[in-house]
Amino acid sequence: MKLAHKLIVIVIVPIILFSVLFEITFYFISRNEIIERYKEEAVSLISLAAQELRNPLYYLDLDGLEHSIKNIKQNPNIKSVYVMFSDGRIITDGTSENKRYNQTLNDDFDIKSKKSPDKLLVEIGKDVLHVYAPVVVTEKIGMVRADFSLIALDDILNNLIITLVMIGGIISIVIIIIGLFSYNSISKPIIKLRDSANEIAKGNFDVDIKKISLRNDEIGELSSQLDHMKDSISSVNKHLNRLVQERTKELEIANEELKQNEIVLKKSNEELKKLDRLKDEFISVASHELRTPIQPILGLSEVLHDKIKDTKQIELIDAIIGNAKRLLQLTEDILEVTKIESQSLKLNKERFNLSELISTIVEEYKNEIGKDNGNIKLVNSIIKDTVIIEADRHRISQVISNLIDNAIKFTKKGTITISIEKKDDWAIVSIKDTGTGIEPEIMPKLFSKFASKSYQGTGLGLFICKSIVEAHGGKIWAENNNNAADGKKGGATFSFTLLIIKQEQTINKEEQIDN
Amino acid sequence: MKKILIVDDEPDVNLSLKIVLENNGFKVDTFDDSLLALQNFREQAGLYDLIILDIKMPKMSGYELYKEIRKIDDKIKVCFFTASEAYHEEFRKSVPASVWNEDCYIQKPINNKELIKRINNIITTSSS
Repeated sequence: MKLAHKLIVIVIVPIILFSVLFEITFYFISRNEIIERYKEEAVSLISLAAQELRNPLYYLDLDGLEHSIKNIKQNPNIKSVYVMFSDGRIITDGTSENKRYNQTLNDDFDIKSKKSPDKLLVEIGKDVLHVYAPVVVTEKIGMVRADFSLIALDDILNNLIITLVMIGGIISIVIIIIGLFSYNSISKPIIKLRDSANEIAKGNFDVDIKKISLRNDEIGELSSQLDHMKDSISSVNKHLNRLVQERTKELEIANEELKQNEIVLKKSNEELKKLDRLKDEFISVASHELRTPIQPILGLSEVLHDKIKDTKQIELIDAIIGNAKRLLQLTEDILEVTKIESQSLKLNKERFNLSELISTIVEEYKNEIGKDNGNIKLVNSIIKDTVIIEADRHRISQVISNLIDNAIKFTKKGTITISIEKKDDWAIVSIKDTGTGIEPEIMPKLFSKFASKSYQGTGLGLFICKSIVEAHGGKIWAENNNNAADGKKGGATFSFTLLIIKQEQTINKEEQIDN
Repeated sequence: MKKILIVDDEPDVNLSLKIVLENNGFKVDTFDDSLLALQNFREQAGLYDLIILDIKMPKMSGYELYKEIRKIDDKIKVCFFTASEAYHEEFRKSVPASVWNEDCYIQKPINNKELIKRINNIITTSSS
């Protein structure tokens, strides 16, 4: 409920109601008073008249009675006067035509008042006040009755009502004016303060409540508090705005810097890519160019080796051949690593039988070892099943050869067993030797570049193996065989996995190709 | 006696191949200039059983020389002998489809035993 409505309900309506009630009460009290006074006047007038009528009534002097009645009738409020015998029969009403003695007057005047009081009596009739008074000479000899008009009284009362209504109206107007004034002076500024507070809440500090603040009351205090608050918020807001602006500017600058950096980064990235390409090209060309001279070195050394009979000279030639081979291997490995690291290791995938491939490789090694090294026995324990895989045949051969080469290198005398095991969808190829095993400190970095550098290799072989196996989606790992007594001399087993292509899938795919 | 023509811009490569092949009973002519080799082949067409070509050569590459040779003789066996990555996919892409035959690519360097084995294989298989 609005304050103005509350003001009307709580203050103005009760005041007006109260004043109306008060006026009604006042009216009735005043009315009684006026009637009472009128009565008193009438009674005293008629009492005097009764005194005056004693003589003429005693002597039945009709003229005297008439004269006395005329005197009484001088009072304008008296409508009529009757003089009666004590039994109530009317003698005269003062008019000449109604002057009779001991007889009934005309119908209108046939008033035999049943009332013949011994004392003064006042009766109020319709618009009329009847006053009876006994005429007494030692005893009651007659009566006088006067009828007073109450119409004059009505006028007075009407005037009173008009006056009271006017007063009530004035009071109401005054109250309404006071209400309006207090609305203006209390409610209005409060509304203004409320609206101002709303504006401030919205962030509009362009509100003027200075005028209200000048008031010397609670509203004034409230206003000046609000004004103060507004100023505080405004200054905080300005401060915040400034901070935001500063930060925005800083952000813009930082953003710009970032953009610049991005451009620089892009440029340097492109340059890096270019450099990378150049590096790749360089290494590719370099490796290519390195291979060419190795051909005559190897070829001619082997020719010399076959021609020379002197064992000491053969040793020298062997050293040349060995190192040429090693140089070749290093060249090949560096080329491979470059391909792996520039992610240009491409696989020429085809379907083939892994068992067959490994068997072929193992047979080749058997032939070679049979001639050179009688101390190592190569065991081919490959299962007879066909194990179809989809892979790069050349790369897989490379991995197997590399692992067998490693096994031979670390097995001075013993057995190397190559096997395939099927587990779920995977083929596990294992190369198990009875050599020196792997040093525990080497184990964690076994498959990283140059991890086994001190073991007379290029140090890249296992890294390349790992990269190739992983490129095929498989895993490679190594472990020491713990079957020997001291747990270390049992040699090592290198294993890797490749996904087997199921026969059904093969059929399906072939069908698809046919379609 | 089988006769082989070798064209490689590296004289030492030619020398080593010549010695190794001659030791194994082949007759060998070598050229380190592809244009001279082509000229020679024009004159001596029909005398050779196998031609071994390097690919990267100045003046005329092995492929171009191969095409010229094919114009003269479409039966002669040709084998490429290259230090490029014979097994590398990129290399395969660069090889004209009509020229591709895995057996006829020999990766440099190759040891003598393996070389003789490959050459014998190529010569003994009937021409396709």
